[in-house]
Amino acid sequence: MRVRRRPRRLRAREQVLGRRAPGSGLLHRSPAGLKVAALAVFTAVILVVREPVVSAGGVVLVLLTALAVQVPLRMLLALLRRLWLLLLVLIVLQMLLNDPLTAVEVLSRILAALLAAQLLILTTEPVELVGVLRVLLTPLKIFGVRPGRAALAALIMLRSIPFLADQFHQAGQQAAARGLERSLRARTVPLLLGAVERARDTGRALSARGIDQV
Amino acid sequence: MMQPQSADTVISAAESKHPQRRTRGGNSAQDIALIGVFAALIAVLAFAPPIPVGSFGVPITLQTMGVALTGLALGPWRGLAAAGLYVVLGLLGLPIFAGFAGGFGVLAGPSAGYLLAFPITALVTGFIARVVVRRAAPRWWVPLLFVAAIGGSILVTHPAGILGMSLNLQVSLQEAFFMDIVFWPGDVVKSLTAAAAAALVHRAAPWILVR
Repeated sequence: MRVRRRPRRLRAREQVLGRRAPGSGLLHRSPAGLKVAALAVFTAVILVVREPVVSAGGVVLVLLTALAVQVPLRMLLALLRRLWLLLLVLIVLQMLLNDPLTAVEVLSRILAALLAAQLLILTTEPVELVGVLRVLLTPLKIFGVRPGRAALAALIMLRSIPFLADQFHQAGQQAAARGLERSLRARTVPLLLGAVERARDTGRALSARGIDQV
Repeated sequence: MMQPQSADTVISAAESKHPQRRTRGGNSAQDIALIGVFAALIAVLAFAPPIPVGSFGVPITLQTMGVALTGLALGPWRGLAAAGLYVVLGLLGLPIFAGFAGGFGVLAGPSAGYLLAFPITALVTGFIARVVVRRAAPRWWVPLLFVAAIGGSILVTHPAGILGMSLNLQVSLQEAFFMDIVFWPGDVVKSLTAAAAAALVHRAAPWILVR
């Protein structure tokens, strides 16, 4: 009797955008511009002050805020799991090169800033951030920057990321099928050509709809 | 003399009516699309897990290759716009930097210098690449585009990266320089690949950088 081979499980795709915490706490409801500004002030303070107490306090503050606005800590701390290698290298380097107090300050400064940014991402839609970009670019009009065009390019970018991620994954599988899994070229050329083709299609679609003058 | 025209020739005829408009850059819908899609390309290469390359299978990350490809393919100004869009959206909070990080927080991290240098790297690489594609014979493209890619990397990315590491990790410039050396071999490999791929694109899609 032949043993039926079990089909190989499909690898789950890394979700890039729209990784959002459920719920509707205070942070979910406040406008994106306000959150971006608060994050900027928080990061600037931590970057400028550089005191162990302030940086460590920043980490605690971020964690308490997450609890207060009902963002699950599990989702917040998932960032650390994705960055574990970087953090490990940092810890080792700091042990070798700096005294313990400086090491604590550097590590907690990086953690506080990264976790605060993660809190923003978990409570904000990508499209809201494009709106913030548009507002921020308005003063640059005198230099010939057109906020509408930049926002349009940003939206095209958001749409293209999943497409290109798939393309890249597929190129990797095709390279592996040809025994070229170690060839960087076999992986990147299809991605680049796919990107150019998509840009051409998108450009034509925009022209066809008369979106030349934004 | 009426000949049936394909959609392609109609569009390229319409585009060639305004040659001076396209060289100024950043003006047509096509340019907006290129900027957006290449910003996405940088993001996708930034998430990619480190890939084992060569007979030793040393894993390398691909983020800087996206920047090199953008400069090589789009030229200086659109390259600057695409890399700038990537960096600005990442700083505003989109999780598009390596490891799905994002937000102003990365300014406190060790890679701050490298990230902030990306738009300027694309600009420098793009300037050299545009001259190469316009002036040089196609058989010289791969070596010369390699010079463009590695030049942008040596002149901009690495100095800025070393400065950023030294500031954010509280180490001396010399120590930061030695940490940076780890990235050099991978950089050469990535620049070579990017040059070969970009030369292919300029042959396959000559419209992308109008000569």
